[in-house]
Amino acid sequence: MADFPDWTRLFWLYGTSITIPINIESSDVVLGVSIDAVTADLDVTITAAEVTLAINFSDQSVAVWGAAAWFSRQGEQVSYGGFENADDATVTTMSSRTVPSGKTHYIAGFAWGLADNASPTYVYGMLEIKGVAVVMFSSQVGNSVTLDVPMRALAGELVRIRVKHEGTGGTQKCMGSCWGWDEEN
Amino acid sequence: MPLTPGQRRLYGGGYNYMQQAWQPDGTVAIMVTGGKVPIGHLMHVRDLWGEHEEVLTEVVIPPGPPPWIQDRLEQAGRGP
Repeated sequence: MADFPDWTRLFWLYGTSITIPINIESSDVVLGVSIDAVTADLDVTITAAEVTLAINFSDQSVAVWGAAAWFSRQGEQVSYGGFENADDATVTTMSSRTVPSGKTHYIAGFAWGLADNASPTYVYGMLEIKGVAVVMFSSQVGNSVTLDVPMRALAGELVRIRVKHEGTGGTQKCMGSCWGWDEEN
Repeated sequence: MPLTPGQRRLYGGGYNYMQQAWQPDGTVAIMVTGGKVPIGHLMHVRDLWGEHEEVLTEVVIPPGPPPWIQDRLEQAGRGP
Protein backbone atom coordinates (compact mmCIF):
# COMPACT_ATOMS: atom_id res chain seq x y z
CA MET A 1 0.00 0.00 0.00
CA ALA A 2 1.15 3.46 -0.79
CA ASP A 3 1.64 5.95 1.95
CA PHE A 4 -0.43 9.12 1.75
CA PRO A 5 1.12 11.53 4.21
CA ASP A 6 -1.46 14.25 3.70
CA TRP A 7 -4.61 12.95 2.10
CA THR A 8 -8.03 14.44 2.09
CA ARG A 9 -10.96 13.37 0.05
CA LEU A 10 -14.19 15.22 0.27
CA PHE A 11 -17.21 13.03 -0.16
CA TRP A 12 -20.06 15.43 -0.60
CA LEU A 13 -23.30 14.67 -2.37
CA TYR A 14 -25.91 17.32 -2.94
CA GLY A 15 -29.24 16.54 -4.50
CA THR A 16 -32.96 16.28 -4.02
CA SER A 17 -32.96 12.53 -3.71
CA ILE A 18 -29.87 10.52 -2.95
CA THR A 19 -29.76 6.82 -2.38
CA ILE A 20 -26.58 4.98 -1.66
CA PRO A 21 -27.26 1.28 -1.52
CA ILE A 22 -24.58 -0.82 -0.01
CA ASN A 23 -25.32 -4.48 -0.23
CA ILE A 24 -22.65 -6.88 0.84
CA GLU A 25 -23.39 -10.53 0.50
CA SER A 26 -20.58 -12.84 1.30
CA SER A 27 -19.75 -15.72 3.55
CA ASP A 28 -17.02 -13.59 5.08
CA VAL A 29 -17.30 -9.80 5.35
CA VAL A 30 -14.80 -7.51 6.95
CA LEU A 31 -15.65 -3.84 6.88
CA GLY A 32 -12.81 -2.29 8.80
CA VAL A 33 -12.82 1.28 9.99
CA SER A 34 -9.69 2.13 11.86
CA ILE A 35 -9.09 5.59 13.23
CA ASP A 36 -5.76 6.08 14.92
CA ALA A 37 -5.35 9.61 16.17
CA VAL A 38 -4.63 11.64 19.25
CA THR A 39 -8.14 13.02 19.11
CA ALA A 40 -10.90 11.78 16.89
CA ASP A 41 -14.40 13.09 16.34
CA LEU A 42 -16.76 11.01 14.34
CA ASP A 43 -19.81 13.19 13.89
CA VAL A 44 -22.91 11.84 12.24
CA THR A 45 -25.64 14.39 11.76
CA ILE A 46 -28.93 13.30 10.30
CA THR A 47 -31.51 15.96 9.66
CA ALA A 48 -34.75 14.60 8.32
CA ALA A 49 -38.45 14.53 9.01
CA GLU A 50 -38.20 10.84 9.65
CA VAL A 51 -35.14 8.80 10.44
CA THR A 52 -34.85 5.09 10.75
CA LEU A 53 -31.48 3.93 11.94
CA ALA A 54 -31.40 0.18 12.13
CA ILE A 55 -28.37 -1.34 13.77
CA ASN A 56 -28.46 -5.03 14.50
CA PHE A 57 -25.88 -6.43 16.84
CA SER A 58 -25.75 -10.18 16.98
CA ASP A 59 -22.32 -10.72 18.43
CA GLN A 60 -22.16 -11.19 22.19
CA SER A 61 -18.82 -9.42 22.29
CA VAL A 62 -20.53 -6.18 21.31
CA ALA A 63 -21.20 -3.98 24.32
CA VAL A 64 -23.96 -1.42 24.11
CA TRP A 65 -24.05 0.90 27.09
CA GLY A 66 -27.22 2.50 28.28
CA ALA A 67 -27.02 6.18 29.12
CA ALA A 68 -26.86 5.71 32.91
CA ALA A 69 -24.11 3.10 32.70
CA TRP A 70 -22.23 5.07 30.09
CA PHE A 71 -22.12 8.30 32.04
CA SER A 72 -21.10 6.42 35.16
CA ARG A 73 -18.27 4.88 33.18
CA GLN A 74 -17.30 8.39 32.12
CA GLY A 75 -17.23 9.48 35.75
CA GLU A 76 -20.29 11.72 35.45
CA GLN A 77 -22.53 9.89 37.91
CA VAL A 78 -24.05 12.02 40.63
CA SER A 79 -25.57 10.94 43.91
CA TYR A 80 -26.73 13.13 46.78
CA GLY A 81 -28.58 12.51 49.97
CA GLY A 82 -29.20 13.73 53.47
CA PHE A 83 -30.88 13.36 56.82
CA GLU A 84 -33.22 15.68 58.62
CA ASN A 85 -35.59 15.63 61.56
CA ALA A 86 -39.11 15.94 60.22
CA ASP A 87 -42.17 16.88 62.21
CA ASP A 88 -45.32 14.85 61.81
CA ALA A 89 -47.38 15.77 58.73
CA THR A 90 -44.81 18.32 57.57
CA VAL A 91 -43.10 18.22 54.20
CA THR A 92 -39.37 18.41 54.92
CA THR A 93 -36.39 18.58 52.59
CA MET A 94 -33.91 15.75 53.01
CA SER A 95 -31.49 16.67 50.25
CA SER A 96 -31.21 19.41 47.67
CA ARG A 97 -28.95 20.23 44.78
CA THR A 98 -28.66 23.16 42.43
CA VAL A 99 -27.67 21.83 39.02
CA PRO A 100 -24.18 23.20 38.36
CA SER A 101 -23.18 25.62 35.66
CA GLY A 102 -22.95 24.22 32.16
CA LYS A 103 -24.63 20.95 33.07
CA THR A 104 -27.90 19.21 32.47
CA HIS A 105 -28.79 16.81 35.24
CA TYR A 106 -30.65 13.59 34.52
CA ILE A 107 -32.30 12.00 37.54
CA ALA A 108 -32.50 8.23 37.36
CA GLY A 109 -34.07 7.54 40.74
CA PHE A 110 -34.61 8.57 44.31
CA ALA A 111 -35.14 6.98 47.69
CA TRP A 112 -36.59 8.09 50.98
CA GLY A 113 -37.51 6.64 54.32
CA LEU A 114 -37.62 6.79 58.05
CA ALA A 115 -34.33 6.51 59.93
CA ASP A 116 -36.05 6.07 63.28
CA ASN A 117 -37.76 3.10 64.86
CA ALA A 118 -41.33 4.29 64.49
CA SER A 119 -44.51 3.10 62.81
CA PRO A 120 -46.09 5.91 60.87
CA THR A 121 -49.24 5.48 58.85
CA TYR A 122 -47.25 6.41 55.77
CA VAL A 123 -44.04 8.04 54.61
CA TYR A 124 -44.43 10.07 51.47
CA GLY A 125 -41.48 10.80 49.19
CA MET A 126 -41.38 13.50 46.58
CA LEU A 127 -38.94 14.48 43.85
CA GLU A 128 -39.17 18.18 43.20
CA ILE A 129 -37.59 20.19 40.40
CA LYS A 130 -37.68 23.97 40.49
CA GLY A 131 -40.48 23.97 43.04
CA VAL A 132 -42.65 21.51 41.13
CA ALA A 133 -43.30 18.02 42.44
CA VAL A 134 -42.56 15.79 39.48
CA VAL A 135 -42.72 12.35 41.09
CA MET A 136 -44.52 11.38 44.28
CA PHE A 137 -44.77 8.04 45.98
CA SER A 138 -45.83 6.70 49.33
CA SER A 139 -45.27 3.66 51.50
CA GLN A 140 -45.26 2.89 55.19
CA VAL A 141 -41.60 3.41 56.08
CA GLY A 142 -39.89 4.31 52.82
CA ASN A 143 -39.03 3.08 49.39
CA SER A 144 -37.02 3.79 46.27
CA VAL A 145 -38.11 4.59 42.76
CA THR A 146 -36.04 3.94 39.65
CA LEU A 147 -37.30 6.14 36.86
CA ASP A 148 -37.69 4.48 33.49
CA VAL A 149 -37.88 7.97 32.02
CA PRO A 150 -35.08 10.02 33.64
CA MET A 151 -36.18 13.44 34.81
CA ARG A 152 -34.17 16.35 33.45
CA ALA A 153 -33.13 19.44 35.37
CA LEU A 154 -31.24 22.36 33.86
CA ALA A 155 -28.34 24.38 35.19
CA GLY A 156 -29.43 26.56 38.07
CA GLU A 157 -32.55 24.59 38.83
CA LEU A 158 -33.02 23.27 42.35
CA VAL A 159 -33.72 19.57 42.80
CA ARG A 160 -35.06 18.46 46.16
CA ILE A 161 -35.99 15.18 47.78
CA ARG A 162 -38.73 15.89 50.28
CA VAL A 163 -40.42 13.62 52.76
CA LYS A 164 -43.60 13.75 54.81
CA HIS A 165 -44.58 11.18 57.41
CA GLU A 166 -47.82 10.98 59.25
CA GLY A 167 -49.17 8.93 62.08
CA THR A 168 -46.50 8.98 64.78
CA GLY A 169 -47.46 12.36 66.14
CA GLY A 170 -43.84 13.26 66.73
CA THR A 171 -40.57 14.26 65.11
CA GLN A 172 -38.74 11.50 63.27
CA LYS A 173 -35.35 11.37 61.63
CA CYS A 174 -35.88 10.82 57.91
CA MET A 175 -33.60 10.46 54.94
CA GLY A 176 -33.69 10.93 51.23
CA SER A 177 -31.33 10.53 48.32
CA CYS A 178 -31.27 10.92 44.60
CA TRP A 179 -29.06 9.68 41.81
CA GLY A 180 -28.45 10.21 38.14
CA TRP A 181 -25.83 11.82 35.96
CA ASP A 182 -24.69 15.16 34.57
CA GLU A 183 -24.16 15.93 30.93
CA GLU A 184 -22.16 18.86 29.61
CA ASN A 185 -24.35 21.36 27.77
CA MET B 1 -18.83 37.82 47.61
CA PRO B 2 -16.29 35.54 45.92
CA LEU B 3 -16.98 31.85 46.04
CA THR B 4 -14.94 29.56 48.23
CA PRO B 5 -13.24 26.56 46.58
CA GLY B 6 -16.01 24.34 47.92
CA GLN B 7 -18.71 26.60 46.51
CA ARG B 8 -16.93 26.65 43.16
CA ARG B 9 -17.18 22.92 43.17
CA LEU B 10 -20.84 22.97 44.18
CA TYR B 11 -21.78 25.34 41.39
CA GLY B 12 -19.24 24.11 38.88
CA GLY B 13 -20.20 20.46 39.03
CA GLY B 14 -16.83 18.91 39.82
CA TYR B 15 -18.09 16.19 42.10
CA ASN B 16 -19.91 12.87 42.01
CA TYR B 17 -21.24 12.60 45.54
CA MET B 18 -22.84 15.03 47.95
CA GLN B 19 -23.91 14.25 51.49
CA GLN B 20 -25.96 16.70 53.54
CA ALA B 21 -26.72 16.81 57.24
CA TRP B 22 -29.24 19.48 58.17
CA GLN B 23 -28.72 21.18 61.49
CA PRO B 24 -31.36 22.40 63.97
CA ASP B 25 -30.47 26.03 63.25
CA GLY B 26 -31.20 25.61 59.55
CA THR B 27 -27.59 25.41 58.47
CA VAL B 28 -26.29 22.33 56.70
CA ALA B 29 -23.09 20.35 56.68
CA ILE B 30 -22.20 19.33 53.13
CA MET B 31 -19.51 17.02 51.91
CA VAL B 32 -18.72 16.76 48.22
CA THR B 33 -16.36 14.12 46.89
CA GLY B 34 -15.52 12.32 43.69
CA GLY B 35 -15.00 13.64 40.21
CA LYS B 36 -11.79 14.79 38.60
CA VAL B 37 -10.60 16.61 41.71
CA PRO B 38 -9.15 14.05 44.12
CA ILE B 39 -9.77 16.09 47.26
CA GLY B 40 -13.11 16.43 49.00
CA HIS B 41 -14.71 19.51 50.53
CA LEU B 42 -16.57 19.55 53.81
CA MET B 43 -18.54 22.75 54.36
CA HIS B 44 -20.84 24.20 56.94
CA VAL B 45 -23.23 26.47 55.10
CA ARG B 46 -25.92 28.91 56.11
CA ASP B 47 -28.84 29.56 53.76
CA LEU B 48 -27.79 26.88 51.29
CA TRP B 49 -28.87 27.78 47.72
CA GLY B 50 -30.38 30.95 49.14
CA GLU B 51 -29.71 34.59 48.34
CA HIS B 52 -27.59 35.01 51.45
CA GLU B 53 -25.70 31.75 51.26
CA GLU B 54 -22.63 31.83 53.47
CA VAL B 55 -19.92 29.27 54.03
CA LEU B 56 -19.21 29.26 57.76
CA THR B 57 -16.38 26.74 57.68
CA GLU B 58 -14.69 24.76 54.97
CA VAL B 59 -12.28 21.87 55.27
CA VAL B 60 -10.39 20.04 52.56
CA ILE B 61 -10.51 16.25 52.73
CA PRO B 62 -7.16 14.92 51.52
CA PRO B 63 -7.08 12.61 48.50
CA GLY B 64 -6.51 8.91 48.56
CA PRO B 65 -7.06 6.31 51.22
CA PRO B 66 -5.86 6.68 54.82
CA PRO B 67 -2.10 6.15 55.23
CA TRP B 68 -2.49 2.72 56.84
CA ILE B 69 -4.67 1.51 53.94
CA GLN B 70 -2.25 3.00 51.44
CA ASP B 71 0.57 1.11 53.15
CA ARG B 72 -1.33 -2.17 52.87
CA LEU B 73 -2.16 -1.51 49.23
CA GLU B 74 1.48 -0.89 48.46
CA GLN B 75 2.50 -4.07 50.27
CA ALA B 76 -0.11 -6.10 48.42
CA GLY B 77 0.91 -4.53 45.14
CA ARG B 78 4.48 -5.76 45.58
CA GLY B 79 3.26 -9.36 45.44
CA PRO B 80 4.62 -12.42 47.30
